Amino acid sequence: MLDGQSLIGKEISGCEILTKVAEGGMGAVFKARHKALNRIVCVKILSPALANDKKAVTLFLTEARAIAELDHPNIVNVYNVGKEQGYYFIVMSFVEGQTLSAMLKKERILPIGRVLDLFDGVLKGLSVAHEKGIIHRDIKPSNILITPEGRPKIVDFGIAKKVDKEKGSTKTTELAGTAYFIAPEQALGKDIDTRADLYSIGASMYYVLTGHFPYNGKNTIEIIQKHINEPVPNPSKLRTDLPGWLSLAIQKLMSKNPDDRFQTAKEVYTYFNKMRAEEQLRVKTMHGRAAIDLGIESSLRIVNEEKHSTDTLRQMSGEDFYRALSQRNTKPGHKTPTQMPQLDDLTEGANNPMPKSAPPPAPTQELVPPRPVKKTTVPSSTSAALAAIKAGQQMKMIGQLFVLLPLFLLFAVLCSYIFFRFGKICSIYVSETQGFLSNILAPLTSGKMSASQLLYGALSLVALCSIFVISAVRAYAKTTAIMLALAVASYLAGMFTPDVPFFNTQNMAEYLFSAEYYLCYLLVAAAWVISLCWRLDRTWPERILGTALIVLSAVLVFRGTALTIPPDLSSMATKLLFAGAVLFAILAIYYLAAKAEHSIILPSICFLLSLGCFWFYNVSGLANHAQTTLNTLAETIPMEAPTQQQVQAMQQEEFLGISRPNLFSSFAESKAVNYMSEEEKYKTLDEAIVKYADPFIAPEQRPLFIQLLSSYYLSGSNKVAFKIWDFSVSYPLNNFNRNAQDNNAYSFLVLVLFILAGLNCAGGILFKED
Amino acid sequence: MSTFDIEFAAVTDIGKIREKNEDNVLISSDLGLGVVADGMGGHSAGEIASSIAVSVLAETIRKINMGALKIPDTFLPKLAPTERKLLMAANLSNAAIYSTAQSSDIYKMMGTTLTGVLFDKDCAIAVHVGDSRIYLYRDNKIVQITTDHSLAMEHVRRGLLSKADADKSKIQNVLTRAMGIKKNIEFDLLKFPVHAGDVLVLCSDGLYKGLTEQAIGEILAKDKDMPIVKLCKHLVRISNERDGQDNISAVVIKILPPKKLSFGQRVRRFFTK
Repeated sequence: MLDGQSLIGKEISGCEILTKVAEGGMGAVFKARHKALNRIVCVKILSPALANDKKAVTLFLTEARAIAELDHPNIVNVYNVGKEQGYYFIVMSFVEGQTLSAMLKKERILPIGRVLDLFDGVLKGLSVAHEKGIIHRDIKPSNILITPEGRPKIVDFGIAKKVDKEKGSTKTTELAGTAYFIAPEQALGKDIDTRADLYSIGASMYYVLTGHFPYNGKNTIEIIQKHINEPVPNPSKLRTDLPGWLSLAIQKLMSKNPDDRFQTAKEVYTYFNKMRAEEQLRVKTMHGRAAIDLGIESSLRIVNEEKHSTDTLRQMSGEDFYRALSQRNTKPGHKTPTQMPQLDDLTEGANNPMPKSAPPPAPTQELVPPRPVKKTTVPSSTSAALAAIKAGQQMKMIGQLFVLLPLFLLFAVLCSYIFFRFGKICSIYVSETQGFLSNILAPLTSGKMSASQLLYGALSLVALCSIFVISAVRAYAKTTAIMLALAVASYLAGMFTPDVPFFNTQNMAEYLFSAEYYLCYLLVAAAWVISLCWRLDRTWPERILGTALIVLSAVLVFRGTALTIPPDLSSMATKLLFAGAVLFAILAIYYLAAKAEHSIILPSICFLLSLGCFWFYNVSGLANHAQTTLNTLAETIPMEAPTQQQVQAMQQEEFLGISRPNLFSSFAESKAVNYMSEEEKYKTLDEAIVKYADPFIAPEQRPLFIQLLSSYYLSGSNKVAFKIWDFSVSYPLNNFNRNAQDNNAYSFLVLVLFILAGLNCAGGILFKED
Repeated sequence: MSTFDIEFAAVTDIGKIREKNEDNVLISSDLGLGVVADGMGGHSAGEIASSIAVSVLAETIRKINMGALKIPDTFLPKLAPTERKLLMAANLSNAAIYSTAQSSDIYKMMGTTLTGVLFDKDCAIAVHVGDSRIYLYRDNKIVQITTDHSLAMEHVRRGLLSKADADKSKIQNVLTRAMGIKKNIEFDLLKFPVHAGDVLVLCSDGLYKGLTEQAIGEILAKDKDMPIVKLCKHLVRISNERDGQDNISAVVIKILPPKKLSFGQRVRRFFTK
């Protein structure tokens, strides 16, 4: 690749590369020493990317050869051209001195006679080139070098530009020619001839003489368009001592139509010389005043123009952009003020010691009032159409709300009812003495199923499936969760309150602040907390809500499971439970609210543990009471050991493989009751309790203690502890079931879930994301 | 995501005379995105610029969608989220090209056009820089909805050049705006609602050099039932036959008419958010 450093020190065409003087898109220019002649030369190397383009290379070489042929004192000399080490190069004379534009900057004002002398040379050089059919395309003060002897030399003979131009279809952000000096036909992309250079000569003279560019503007495009469009400015207005003929000549050179200009460079310098001779003659014939203004300093100063990037057309005014936007009813894009990178022209950089030009002013940022522009025919891009569409959407949404929501609610009612009926059928398996879970599972483990049970079981299964199908796409949809909760609640309602009709809303208001209803609230609050846990990147309102809900849930579970028997505070375990409940609640708040990381599992687990601990803490009194009672009973009631025959019979049965429910556990505690049948055992234990422990066992609690006692004799005190805790923990639920017959807590729960599902569904329609 | 079902197709062709294809196209139905980028600079790595443009754009949008990348709050806060997303992606894309271009002589001065469409709900949002185009075909009418950022078009806007002249002009290739040339550039951002049955054609200049707007419209009208992949190939092939001087790329996007949903699908759509 064209790496400046890698080439330095190398030899190309007998020239030792010394330093890089400039670089541009087309290649780089190096200062080099011609070894044989011991002379400083300039080596221009074509960019290797272009070296692969045969067409470009051919043009590069042809042009270079043509210029080499020119051999004119006012054109930079080309010594050699060719390819070496894979590089296409041109060896040119190295011109000491400065560009015309640099000279102008330094000297601020140039006498008219001196300017005419310089341009005389430039035009002579150009004339020769034009005769060979070579167009420069980029005449400007910075492409005119002034040797120390004061001789002008035209550089950068459009070699690379020609190449670029011929590769017509290649996209570029550069236009051959410099905005301030570009001929209108060149700016319009028309075919150009030698007369385009004459326009640039005119524009350059205008600039050199007046210190102002003929056209100026906010950006390159504006300047270029002024070249095309605006009337030719009169240089005499800026420099009053300009002779009238020169002013007119410049204006003629800058005619929009090439036919109105001088037709050749020769014509121009011939005219200039003729007029100067005439003028001098006139001056002489008049009062012997100094010839024109040679050496006379006028008060004109070179205005420090804010120079725009010379070759590039990359800038677009913000105004235009906004117009485009207003035309299309769109929104503004990126508005950061922009700066153009300066991609200096190859030779300009090479010979121009001028400081880098200042960046152009940033495009205006204010919104320009929209100009009357023709409307596009895209029918829907008008704001009216947009509004109509928006209104249409709203109508559609409302339509959906009115059709889909009732449909959904109907579906929910149907599901709920099916599960209720199913639960009602299963209620025959419910046993008062069983725990909550065993009751729920009883229908499934009973083995036998009636026809109606099968029917409703199947229906429930269908309902369950349809719930899942409806929300199949997402793994976790809130509606699904609520619908499932609704199904479960309906099932339980049917199961535990079979005598209450499906949806009984009677006397709900009386019980709104009872323990059972607290449990209903708890279910909703807990579900809400869990759903908040599921949300990634929780916002602050969500976190605050989460905190509030966790606290609320703790209070609800505390109130909902509170029993008449106070917690057993004598035990260390109970105290630990309470401490744990508080700790987990705090942790849940910490993870949910304070720590805003993507944690789903941790806050959920902490929250559930906290609820669990509160629950256990609250029922610990009951468990303790049951345990104490059981221990007292066990100590009080004397039980005989089995007789020898019983043990023998037992062993025979075991040997023959006859199963008895308590067969294997019989070795744990050898008590006679273990070998009795269920009815016999019940009767024996019932009698024993009445006889020995009647005072502290309420009649309705007797079946429970009979059961506990039989377990106690079968497997010992420690194992019964589990049964006691199972009973105690599910006590609030069983209590709930019992009371639900009166206070319609299940109906209330179903109602709440029903409302939630409806709200969620409506929300889904109104605020759907996609 | 769009409320419509949208079909995408993209084809890029080297053309008849070019030695390399500097165009890049990208379509993603996941993102609802179609992009055409036309790399430029015969002397630079145009194909690299266009490749960076499309890939960074798509990747940024994907990351923003996934939440792996967050749009700074200060970034054009007044715009809609999708517009910000697209502009952010385009900006990053430009920055990536610019910094690559600055990093080495090999890539110096490379640049690219970028024209992309991102669908959001019932709207299409287009981001546009350069002389690639978006045509919207609706109700048997075709409209170019982007403005070329070329000097020729600037002249047309000022009335200095007729549209017909501009299409033939040599300065048609002189871009006034392009990606990768500057650190910060302005993007045209267009938002327009789409309807079922609309066809969007995103194309590089190679395509419209061979096919006029009218010709594209006629092809779309004639072959409207053709599968769009075939249609896209068809457009590129015809353009190549007629001109073929440049790389030709086209992305064809069809907004499908809403399907008659079954009851189950309706219910499912209704419940899934």
